[in-house]
Order: sequence, then structure tokens, then C-alpha cells
Amino acid sequence: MRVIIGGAYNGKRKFVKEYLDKLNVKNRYVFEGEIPVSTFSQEDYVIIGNFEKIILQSIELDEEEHAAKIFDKLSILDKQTNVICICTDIGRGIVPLEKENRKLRDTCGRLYQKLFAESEQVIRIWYGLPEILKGGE
Amino acid sequence: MGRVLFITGGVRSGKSAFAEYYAKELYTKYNSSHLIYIASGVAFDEEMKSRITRHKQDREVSEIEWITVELADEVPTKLDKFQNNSIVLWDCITTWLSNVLYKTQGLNKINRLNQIEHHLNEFKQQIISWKGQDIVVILVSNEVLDEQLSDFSEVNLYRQILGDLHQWIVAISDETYEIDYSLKRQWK
Repeated sequence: MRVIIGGAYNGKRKFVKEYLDKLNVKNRYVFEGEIPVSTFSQEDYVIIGNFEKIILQSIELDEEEHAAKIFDKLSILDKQTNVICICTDIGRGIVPLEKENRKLRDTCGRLYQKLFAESEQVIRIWYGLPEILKGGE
Repeated sequence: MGRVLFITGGVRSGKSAFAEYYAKELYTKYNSSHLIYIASGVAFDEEMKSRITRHKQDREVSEIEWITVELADEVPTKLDKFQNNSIVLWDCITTWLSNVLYKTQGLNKINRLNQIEHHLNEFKQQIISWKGQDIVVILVSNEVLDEQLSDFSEVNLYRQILGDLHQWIVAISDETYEIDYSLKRQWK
């Protein structure tokens, strides 16, 4: 599993596209706000973005439990194919006033921690420039 | 050939101080003709007034003389006439962009987006033209994109334009810095 993290509008998707172009990857499947349930092969690349939306779908769940649940789904997917998670960093602003937004932000943080720990590679994107936080080239 | 330098950071991170220090250092190093400060702040309230005064005073006590150019929104053509071998410090891009958005607020959506696009193009052309001259341009901006989507569409529009603009600036920059409370890290 790979993680691409960065603030909004920093060029994360553009980076992933160019990265896969370089690897000459043909089979790319992009999912925004959902984790696919279909099966994929080892040659495929499954790109998942908008974890905020995924979290909001079951925001009533406990933060820790929720993050673990999403992470488990990703782990299962990762066993059959190549998974790239596009994570928007939303944890550096002012604490949101609304309870639901606070929970979203907290759950996102929990999930990202797990993803960072279990991924073989983590890359931060800063306005299009990559920084490898974990794992080699 | 000129150079473009980009410096960002959170609020009160010390980015302006670093930018001014660096501008003066380059001024001395390159034996430059002028040290130019582009100010985009508009004094719309007391706090903003004192903020501007504080920045002005900092520059006044400087041993090197700054030439201040006010640039609220429209990029004037006379900026083309900066002499080669000048150092230009623009602090900051976020303020300039706020002014552009504020100024165009009364227009209908399509006209507004066109007007914003027009300003952005003027901005980009100016930077490229300076780069073509022997001018060192230091652009200062803010880190404001590491939080959730706002409930206000205006804020999200601002963030999107700013993010895209930052990507453009970073791509053409020769050096880029992110300042974290006086600690700087060089990305490029």
C-alpha cells in the first residue's frame, strides 16, 4: 500500500497520474469517497481518494473502531492488488466548531496514522513537489 | 537571468523576517541596484493598520533603503520598468489574492471568474517577465490548505485558486522554502 498525503489543492492526484505514467501502468481504477468491493489483479492499481467522504458515511461510529474498519477493508484490497491512498491533510487548521466536523477530523487522523504505519511508502506532496516520508523510490 | 524564490509558512512563523533577511543578503551579494518591496496589504481596520506600520518600521530601521510599491490588486504595467539587477520582495500573495477576490465580489459568476483569471494571468506574466530580466523575485505566501473544506464556498474558491497558484509558483521557482516557526526547510 502507498500513501500520498498533502493539503488540499497541492497536486496530489496529478502526482499520482504522472507517477503511474512513468511506471507505464495501464489498468488504473480511481475511486473517490468509496472503497471498491470488486476484485482486482496484481497488475491493477486502485487509487482511493476522499477519505473524508468515506468517514462521513458512518460518522456515528466510534472514532477508533471506525478507522480500524476502514483500514481492514483497505488491507484486504491491498492483498489482491496495488492500492494507492490519496489522503488530504485536514488536521492542521483551527479545531472545527461543529461536533461532526471535529469527529471527522479526529477519525481521519486515526486512519492516516494506521495507513502511515502499514504502508510500504508514504509521500507528502507540497505544491507538486514530493517528499518521501517513508520507503524508497 | 533572474531567479524566483518562494517562501511559505503559517501565520507568525517568521516567514516575513526570513524573506527580508534573505532579500538584503542577496542585495549585498549581487551588488544589486534596488531593493524593492511590494506591499499588498490594505489598511481596512485598526489591526491591519498596525500590522502594516510594524512591517514598515522594520524596513525603515534597515541599513539598506527599501523602495515600497503598493500593489493592492491590479498589476500595474510600470512594474515592468524595474531595473535589471533589482531584488523584489512581494509579501504576500495571499493578501493580494484576497484583494482580487474582494474586488470582483459584485460581479456575476462567469464575469468574476474571468476577471480573477485575468488578474492571475497578469501576475504570472509579470513574474515570468521579471525572471527574464536580471531580477530576483521573492514571493511570500501562507500555508492555509491543511484543513477541512469550509462551509463557505467563498473560502473554498479562495483555497482552490491559491493552491493552484502555489503549484504554478513552485514549478517555476529556483528555490522554495517552507518556514515552521523560524526553522526553514528547503524543498527545492
